[in-house]
Amino acid sequence: MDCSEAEERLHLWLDDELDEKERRELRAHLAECGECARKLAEYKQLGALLDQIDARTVVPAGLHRRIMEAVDRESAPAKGGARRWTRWAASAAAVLLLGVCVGVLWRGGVWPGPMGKSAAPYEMEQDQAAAPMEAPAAEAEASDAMGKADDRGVNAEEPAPPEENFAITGENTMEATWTVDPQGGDHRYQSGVSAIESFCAENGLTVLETGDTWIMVQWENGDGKQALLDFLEENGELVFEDRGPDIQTLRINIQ
Amino acid sequence: MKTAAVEGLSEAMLLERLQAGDKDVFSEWVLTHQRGIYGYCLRLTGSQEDAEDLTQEVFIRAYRGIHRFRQQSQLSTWLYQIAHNACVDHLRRVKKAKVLSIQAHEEERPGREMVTDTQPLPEQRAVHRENIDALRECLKTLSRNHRAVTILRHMRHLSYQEIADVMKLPLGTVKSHICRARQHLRDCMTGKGVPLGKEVG
Repeated sequence: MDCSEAEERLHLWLDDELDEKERRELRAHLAECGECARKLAEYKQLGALLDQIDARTVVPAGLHRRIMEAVDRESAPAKGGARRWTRWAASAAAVLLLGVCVGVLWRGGVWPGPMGKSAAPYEMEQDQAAAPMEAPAAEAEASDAMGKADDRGVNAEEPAPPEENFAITGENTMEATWTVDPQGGDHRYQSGVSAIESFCAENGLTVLETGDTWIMVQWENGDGKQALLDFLEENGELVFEDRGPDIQTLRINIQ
Repeated sequence: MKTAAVEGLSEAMLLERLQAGDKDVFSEWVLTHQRGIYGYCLRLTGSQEDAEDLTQEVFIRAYRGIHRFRQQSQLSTWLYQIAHNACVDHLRRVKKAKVLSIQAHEEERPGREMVTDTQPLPEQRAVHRENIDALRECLKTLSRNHRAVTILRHMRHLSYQEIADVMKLPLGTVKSHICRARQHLRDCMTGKGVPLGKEVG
């Protein structure tokens, strides 16, 4: 064993990362090499001094209280919960309305007749009632929404083609706009992009690409997606167009 | 320093209680780890004030994220992962070099609620005080990653694998960081005229 190899092993030995055979070999080298033995003594003293520095670290008085007060604020009766549902409902309604409008325009600008004004949910309800008994409800909804429109001269229920709405990010990516809450104290020392990056690192989401004011994130399952959306909702205003569980990439534009 | 509510709890039981939102257990879990997290943030940022803010931030992030923790690592490793990310975010934002040079003395400054290293040392340990002061200065000259591995290994006693998990680095990189950091600190001490190698009392 030469000294360079011995030095490498010195560190592993100090950190208890060597097996018995490697330790034996190192001991044999140290018995013959004063230079390496001296290094070992130096590194041991370094460790002892670092221990002493750490031993003198004193937690500021009141830190625990401060942390627990912040925790209490986190878990205070969730006005946020109600607010979040309201926001979700508003977003869902906006998406639905957008879908209806784009659908109308997309089908050549033909405005629906009296039935069309009732919009998709009403149409589906009507069609479900008329669907064959053996067809599962979900399939009935889908086939009815697609198939029966022409019979009535109504096309408002046609879903908007995704490409029309999301041309910027492509068909496999959803898009969100996030306005960071300036009062959201917990991320006051981060940019929006780095806050999301950290969140993704801690929660197993993949950051595909970032820019100065945007970040593209991918998740593997619905839990990851929901966690990300919760985080964004809790720390700012989120406008999000959900295009369903099949799409697992979100581009977040930060304002 | 485990206290009544978490004393004797296995890791799995502790996690279960934390995920169930048991505030008493969370409070004592904070007590157990706050010194370690604060010390890590303090050494990494060089600022008491930032370390306090970051420690609070770390536990709030943990509180928010605990229900998503899936035992991919030890709870404490996960906590240090959060701390590391929070510190790195912070350092990126404030430009670490500036922080370290401007606030280098803050660590020693008495006057706030409690300050590190203000206890008077016995006469016979004055020489060690000199060594400690020199080493503290040398720590500040390490690169961010070298400083992080040094603290995690020497002060928090994490294994190489745990450090790799915390910093999201390959194991081999952690090994070489630890080796380089120690070499740098040894050379720095020699450069300051307080070479290592003598017994520490």
